[in-house]
Amino acid sequence: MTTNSGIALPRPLRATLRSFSLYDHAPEIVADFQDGVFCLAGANGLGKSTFLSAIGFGITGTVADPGRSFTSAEEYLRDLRAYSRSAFDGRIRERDRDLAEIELELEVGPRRYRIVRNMFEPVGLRSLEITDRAGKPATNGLASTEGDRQAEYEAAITADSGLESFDQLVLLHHFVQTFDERRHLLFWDDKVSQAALFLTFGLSPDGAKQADDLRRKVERADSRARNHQYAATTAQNRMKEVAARIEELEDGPTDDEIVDELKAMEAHVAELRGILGRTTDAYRDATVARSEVSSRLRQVRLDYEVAFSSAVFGRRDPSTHPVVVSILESHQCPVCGSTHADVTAHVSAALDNQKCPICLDATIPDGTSIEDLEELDALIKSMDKDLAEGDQQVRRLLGEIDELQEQLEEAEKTLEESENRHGVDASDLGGDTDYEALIESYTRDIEDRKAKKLEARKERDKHRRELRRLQKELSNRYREVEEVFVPRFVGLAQGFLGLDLELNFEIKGDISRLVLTVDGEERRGPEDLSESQRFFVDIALRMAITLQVADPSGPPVLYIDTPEGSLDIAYERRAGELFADFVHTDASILMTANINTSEMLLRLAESCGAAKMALQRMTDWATLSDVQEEEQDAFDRAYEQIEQRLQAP
Amino acid sequence: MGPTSEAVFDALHMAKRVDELDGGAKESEVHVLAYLACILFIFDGGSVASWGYVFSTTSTGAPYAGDLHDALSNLAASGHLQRDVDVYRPTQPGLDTHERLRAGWRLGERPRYLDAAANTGLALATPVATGAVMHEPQLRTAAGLARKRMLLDEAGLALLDPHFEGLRRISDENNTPDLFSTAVLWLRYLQADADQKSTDV
Repeated sequence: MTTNSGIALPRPLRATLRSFSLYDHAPEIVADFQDGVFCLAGANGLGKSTFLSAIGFGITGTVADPGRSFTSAEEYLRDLRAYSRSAFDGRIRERDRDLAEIELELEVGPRRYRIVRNMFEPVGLRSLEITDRAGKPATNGLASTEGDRQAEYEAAITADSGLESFDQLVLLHHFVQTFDERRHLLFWDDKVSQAALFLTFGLSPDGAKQADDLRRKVERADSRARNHQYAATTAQNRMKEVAARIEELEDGPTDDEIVDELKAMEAHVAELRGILGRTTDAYRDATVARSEVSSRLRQVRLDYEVAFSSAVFGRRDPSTHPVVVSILESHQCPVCGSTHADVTAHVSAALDNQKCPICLDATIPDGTSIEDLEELDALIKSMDKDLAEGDQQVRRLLGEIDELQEQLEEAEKTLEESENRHGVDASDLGGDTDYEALIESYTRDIEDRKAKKLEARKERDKHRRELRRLQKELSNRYREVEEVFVPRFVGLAQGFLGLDLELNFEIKGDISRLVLTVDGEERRGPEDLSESQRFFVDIALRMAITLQVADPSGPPVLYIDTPEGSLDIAYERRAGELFADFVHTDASILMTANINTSEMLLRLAESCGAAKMALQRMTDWATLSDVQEEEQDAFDRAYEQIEQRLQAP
Repeated sequence: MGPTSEAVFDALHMAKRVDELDGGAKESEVHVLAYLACILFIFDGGSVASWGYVFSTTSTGAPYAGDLHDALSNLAASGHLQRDVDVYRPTQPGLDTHERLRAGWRLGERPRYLDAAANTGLALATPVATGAVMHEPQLRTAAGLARKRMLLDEAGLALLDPHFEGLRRISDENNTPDLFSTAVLWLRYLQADADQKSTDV
């Protein structure tokens, strides 16, 4: 009986973030990951989710796009790379863009990796070292460019993971190992869960890729068949309505190719419009932010001038004035020239009584000192830097907008030309049109469309048969592993739900899926469970899958982002127990959590203890807002409570 | 509103520096040398707007900054400078205040230009240096027209462009000498050019 598929998922050992502006307490942040739980806890908005995204980006070169649906593993990776290039905009200052990087030490199967990636470079590595577990180098180190190192990394980590392609590793990371702000549910996304099932239930990675490709081919062939039917219907309508229409049949691209070409162009134009829109929004935000800094700086400069005048020319100690000094030294009145003793005595007496010897006013310390000036000076220096950074960002975005506008104009022009080239217009037809020939032409077209529709369906059915074969194989494999897998899942999920659970595998059409039954009723849609229930059942499924997948050489890792946000109070302790149960199987969790008095963290800490759980305070990395600073005591109490549970015997 | 912080600092710094070189700074020298410092600042990539105060010409064609004049008066009245007719020297409180202000970021960059200008008095003697500045193209034009005008506006900067170009070329050929060397070179050129023109006439 197969208990796991022998896929060695990358296991982070250490993460180092450099010049990551969001974590402003130090230029370098280091996190070591022991076995068990690493929990980054803190208040909202400090960058907890960003930490998990950064680790995922380091490993895969991608950040999940909440707005993107899954089509196939290959297409998902290709589309995500463009998105990921600017995923950390807003979290890293303009001046830190080139410096910001993540260094990761990973264990993957028999080998260890140390990689360094710039936070804006999804397809390049600044550094790559691969060694065996004893530290002996495992590669020749000949890759000399960032792109070469990325290619070497992808090939090596794919092979060490036991997978067929890098996009499979990305799929597993984003959709199986990571439960993040997207709250994407594996159970109820048929396409993703099927791809994950093929990979994780013992079908070879090559077979899983084949199944993914076949599903996509079935979809495309089906889509082509529908297009042919639509085209045949349209031609029939034309033939009926417009006798004067002529369709040119030239040597050149087929109608299918024309449709595909136009669709691709339209998609490209739409994508460019989307990117231009987002960049324009960013430019507007940057301009507003810059104006605000400029306005505040102007005010601070005015304050400086007022303070300067007060500090230099305001009221000061009369004993240092040259006239007073001269009187005390020379014993001579500077007005009339008299040198009698009373001159000095009069002045000394006034100074001793803390009074000005001329106007006899009390010598009150001036309100503004040079120290106050120094504070304003430092503020102006800091704001000048911010303004320069803002200028740089605005200039950069403006440049990007210009470039995008050029590209968009070019793409729209190309699309229009293509549409015009392939379109037909009744007014182009002259009086010499052979209508019989036209009708004949339409008739042939309709027959042709019908034939192509049948052809596309045949192709679809061929791919479908092959897919069915793989689905059957998957079903057989599932039978072999369900004795281990299902109890594992039910054990984890039931502890949380407190309800009777069953899990069944079914094949419906082109989709293979797991079906959840709770208290005897099938829950086929996410709306059939409460929010807490569906999120944590999904987490339990991921736990069971990663345990199923894991190669004996390394325990599986899950990345979980603020799960308590989705919890009813009734489930808080149970959530903590769920995570503890997972960790006690020798698996690991990298998680983030809001720091509050949630029972989830307390229960988890109590169960794991310091040997199996490390708590990292977010306040060690990032600065609190003014509102949060006011509640610093409450945060400290919450941290201490958890730390006490960790240390309890 | 009183003189700007830049004018106050420059007045105090120039009085101190020229006093060290020549034993007392005349007000006219402070204006001319501050003007030269401002030109060096622009040559080095700075903008006129960020110098902190403006210059115009007097009826005699010399550069003059109202803020500098007010700064010198206020510094004398407050005991930071000692005034003897129109010659200024810093007092101990003036030196203390200067030291504190120089340590700040905002004013701390200015001595680079002020010293480069004042130190031309080491190479040429201060009266010779200030005399050469008077042959700068804007001042020469203003003197020729006998008209008061603003200095270092757009038209004025355009007159300086060919001079800056030449100085940069020489800086590159000589591996970027310091601002002081550039200032001395320029003043020597201005004087030589003026001498040549007066010979031609």
